[in-house]
Amino acid sequence: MKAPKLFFYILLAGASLSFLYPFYWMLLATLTPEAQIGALGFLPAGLTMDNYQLLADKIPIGRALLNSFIVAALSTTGVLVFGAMTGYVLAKMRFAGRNLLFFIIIFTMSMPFQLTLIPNYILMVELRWTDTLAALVIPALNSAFAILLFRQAFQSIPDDLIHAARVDGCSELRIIFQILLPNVIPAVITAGIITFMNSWNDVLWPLIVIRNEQLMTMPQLVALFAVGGRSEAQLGVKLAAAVLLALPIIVAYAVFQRHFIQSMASSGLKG
Amino acid sequence: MASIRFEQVSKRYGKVTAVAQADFEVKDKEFMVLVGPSGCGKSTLLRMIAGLEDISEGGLFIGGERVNDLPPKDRDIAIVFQNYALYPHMTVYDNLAFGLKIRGLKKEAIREKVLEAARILEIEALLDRKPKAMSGGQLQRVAIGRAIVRSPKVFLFDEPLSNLDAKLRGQMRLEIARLHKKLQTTVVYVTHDQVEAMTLGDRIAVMQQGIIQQIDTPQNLYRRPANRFVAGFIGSPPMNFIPGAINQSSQGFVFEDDSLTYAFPLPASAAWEPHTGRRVEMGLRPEHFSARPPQDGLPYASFEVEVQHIERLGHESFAFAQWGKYALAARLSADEDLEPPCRITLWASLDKMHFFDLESGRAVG
Ligand SMILES: Nc1ncnc2c1ncn2[C@@H]1O[C@H](COP(=O)(O)OP(=O)(O)O)[C@@H](O)[C@H]1O
Ligand SMILES: [Mg+2]
Repeated sequence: MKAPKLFFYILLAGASLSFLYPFYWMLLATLTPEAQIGALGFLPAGLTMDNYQLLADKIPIGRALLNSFIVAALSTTGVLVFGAMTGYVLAKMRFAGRNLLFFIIIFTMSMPFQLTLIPNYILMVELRWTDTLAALVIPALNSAFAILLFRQAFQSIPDDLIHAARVDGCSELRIIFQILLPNVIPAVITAGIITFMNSWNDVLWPLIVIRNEQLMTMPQLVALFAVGGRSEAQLGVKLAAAVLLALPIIVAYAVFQRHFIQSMASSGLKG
Repeated sequence: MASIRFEQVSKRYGKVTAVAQADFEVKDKEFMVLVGPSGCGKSTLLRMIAGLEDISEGGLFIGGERVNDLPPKDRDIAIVFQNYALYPHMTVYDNLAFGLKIRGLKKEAIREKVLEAARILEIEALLDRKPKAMSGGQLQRVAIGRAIVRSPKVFLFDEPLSNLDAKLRGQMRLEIARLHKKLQTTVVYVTHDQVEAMTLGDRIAVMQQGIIQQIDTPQNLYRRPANRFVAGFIGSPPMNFIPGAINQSSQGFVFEDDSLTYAFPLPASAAWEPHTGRRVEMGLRPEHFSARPPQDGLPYASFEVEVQHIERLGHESFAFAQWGKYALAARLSADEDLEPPCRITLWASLDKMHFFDLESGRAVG
């Protein structure tokens, strides 16, 4: 009884160490003078903020952080607002073609992003949205995934609750936002977290529509910096950029840990 | 002033006709009950009054005004649902106050109205609670509170007591009757329960398959059902039906059962004439049987039956018996000491018999 359990714990500890060590090492390396990084093991060797200083000098990292926040926050708000509205219509309103519409929306989920990349880019060019944050925000204001999630959540709410609200004098918008959303908080959190993370981690689309360094998002700027020449092959600076990229997600995870796990489990998707 | 008038109102869902050509009026301050089996269109009719369902055809008038295109919030009605439909994320106070807030009332006025409604329904102690933490009876009180707090012209109830246990149902039934007396508003009350219908309604509309079969006072529905459906629906255990035909004999009109074993004379009347030779069903309520011959001097019939089972309720008993090839239920006084199976004679006045045309179901005679 005892021995297998002990063995199990050792196995788990080993596994988690193998996940955590690279992160630990990365963090340590950013605080280590460039020359010592090669010899780094478990223990710190010297302590310096130079890598971060250098990074801030070379690229507008603060600005990118802000851009990423603006884009992710606006997309998430949009997805919650418009996804809930679309989900409500698909769940609770009766009209011809409703199911067809729903199937089309689901179908778009199964299409790889790369397929629509070029048409979308052309659209952005036509609208003169390239090199503006609009190109990052506006196409991301609704999502098939959130629509699906809200539709399912709203379907489980009895019609009579909506009837009661309507008799009480609610408009359709008030029904959605004051009556329904407060009763599907798990769906709101799931849609919110997944949208925010997808937006935060997206590299490909920003690379295509944004050229102006001042408008770049974190992952875009960091990727360009790390693979481009400007990091001058300095490992410490590259890693400092990576830390700054991961930090907000790690903080968010620490705060919303329970909801993260719930949303991953309930959506069956990996962020 | 809020009468409700239906003028040839129909509702269709695709090919399904949920309500067909409803044409009747609920008078001001009247308590109208819609009763009928599940799926007969009661809720649909109620939701049309509320404006929650479009009217496919016909006109609906509340207080003389045509409301077909008026949204629910402008109809000055309130509705109580079977599953309460309280806002789960709000306290009882907020549930009651919500409709008033939307209508833009001042905070003070809202508070006054909510407290008044809470006092009437004795839910003052619950005002800070959320629906999750309450029992079915409490939830239904709050739901009624949410309806009365706006003092609407019309109250609509959709099976409000179906989720409560029998004892609570009896209590709430009384309270709803009392509330109606106190508030003096028009009420339309949907139920599938005939006891609720009979005890609450000033008048009752009996529905079946989207069609209103009969509208009348409880007494008249019971005494003079317009057709076989109403006759079988009102009363428990239901009316006994014996198939047969109306024939003319040398003594006048008689009812003869299908097996030609029994014949009962019918009261002399020309009303039987058009039905002579037609197949009918004779209906007789269980409570109109007696184990002794009636003493009132009226003509009666006797039934030699084989009692197979007896249900003793204390104050009365129900006997389930075989009469020739027909099954009969009879209500007997609790004094009758029967040990089934046994043979007894049941008696019933001839004037308690109902007759229904077998084809159309309509009452004849
Ligand atoms: N939203 C709807 N769509 C299609 N058919 C419906 C809808 N609502 C009700 N019906 C149909 O209309 C009929 C009457 O329903 P309802 O009014 O709910 O009956 P009741 O309240 O008497 O049980 C039923 O046959 C039901 O299937
Ligand atoms: Mg119903």
